Amino acid sequence: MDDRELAQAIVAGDRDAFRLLVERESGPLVRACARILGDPDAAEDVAQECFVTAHQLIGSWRGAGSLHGWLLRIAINRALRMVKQRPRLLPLEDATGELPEMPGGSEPLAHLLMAERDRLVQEAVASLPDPYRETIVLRYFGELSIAEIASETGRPIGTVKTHLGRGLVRLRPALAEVRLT
Amino acid sequence: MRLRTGDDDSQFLSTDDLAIEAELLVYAARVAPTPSAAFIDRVMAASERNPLPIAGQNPRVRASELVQAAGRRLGVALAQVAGGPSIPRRVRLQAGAMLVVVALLITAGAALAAAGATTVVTWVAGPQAPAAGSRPSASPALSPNQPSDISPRSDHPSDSNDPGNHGQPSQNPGNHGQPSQNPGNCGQPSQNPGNCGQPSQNPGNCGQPSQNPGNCGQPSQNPGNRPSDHPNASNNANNGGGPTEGPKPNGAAHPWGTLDVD
Repeated sequence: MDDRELAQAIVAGDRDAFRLLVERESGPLVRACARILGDPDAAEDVAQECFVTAHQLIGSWRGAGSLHGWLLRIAINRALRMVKQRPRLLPLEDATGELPEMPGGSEPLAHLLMAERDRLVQEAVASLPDPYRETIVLRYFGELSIAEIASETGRPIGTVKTHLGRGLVRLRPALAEVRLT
Repeated sequence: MRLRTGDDDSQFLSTDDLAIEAELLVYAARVAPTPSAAFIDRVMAASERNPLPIAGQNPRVRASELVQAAGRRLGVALAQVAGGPSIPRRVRLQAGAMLVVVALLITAGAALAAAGATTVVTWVAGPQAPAAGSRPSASPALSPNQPSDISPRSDHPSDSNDPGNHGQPSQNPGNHGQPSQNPGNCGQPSQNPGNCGQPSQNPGNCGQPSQNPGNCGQPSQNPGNRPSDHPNASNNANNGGGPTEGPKPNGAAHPWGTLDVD
């Protein structure tokens, strides 16, 4: 079943078709949102909102690109909006006063350093101006090729390459700090 | 992760850009969670609250749902603003007082604007002629058919105060074609050459004898009226300013004057 048939079936009220779409697209969407937000739970929440919105608006999908790209752009925009809205400082302690469990296990310092590097990457990408941010996120967080980005955004491939190169140039100062850590 | 450093989509990048790209790819590879087992069921349950896609519904149903959703959001917003516990009572009271002051200022501004607009309209329209039964305007503008308090008036005692007929026919019916009962100049030839062969414009006294017996050849004691400066002055040439040359057999005594040219 291609994207157009899948969309038509969902518009017609086929629940199985919608489940098929969720099963197929949930992995890439959750990964992309997690890379933007740095939090897997928040990424699932955003991905869930994205699927519900897509369920309601899939009749407006024009079929110019792929359903994967359409869903990915919805999810990325929501995740970037959440990054702007959430507070910059997150509490280290939960309500019980205990430190949160760290996946680093016996090396909490290495885990903290890695978490700090991840935070710098997230902030550096989120602070990019459009269209560089969108291109960088679709390419490296959404795992789209340059041709797919061009198809989804409606821009020429050369323009996408230019945006990608300029976005990387703008990321240099912030990611140089990451490499120092 | 499908992306690799140095693939076709990365060949146009410089060495520095490739280093930044490598950092991003390392980060993306490290942060790649898989959805939880319950994620798909959660999504399906959440989507069941909207059983039909909005885009596939009837436009009327869709519009009503949108209106209802907007109403719910408005209700929530109003509840948060009006009774929300996060806003202190003092702040809410201050906000309410400020709203009242702003409303009063807007009302006062609107009243001033209306008064100003009325003044401008009155000034542009200019003075209006008073309607029947209304008081005359206090404006100094003069109507050409109204008596002027500024124009010079004659000091002569016989100066006519009659403003004329204003274009209306004379109320004096004349002689209605009947011969005048006035014998005229008492047998003496008239000094008045008459109408020079033209028919008289004065039809007579309607069969009634003239009240003016004439001057019987004697010069008139009435020197006549000087020409009036009034725009509706009489057309009677008898007001030439000097004594009349002879008796006027049909001389009208009507104060409005006649069209007699002698």
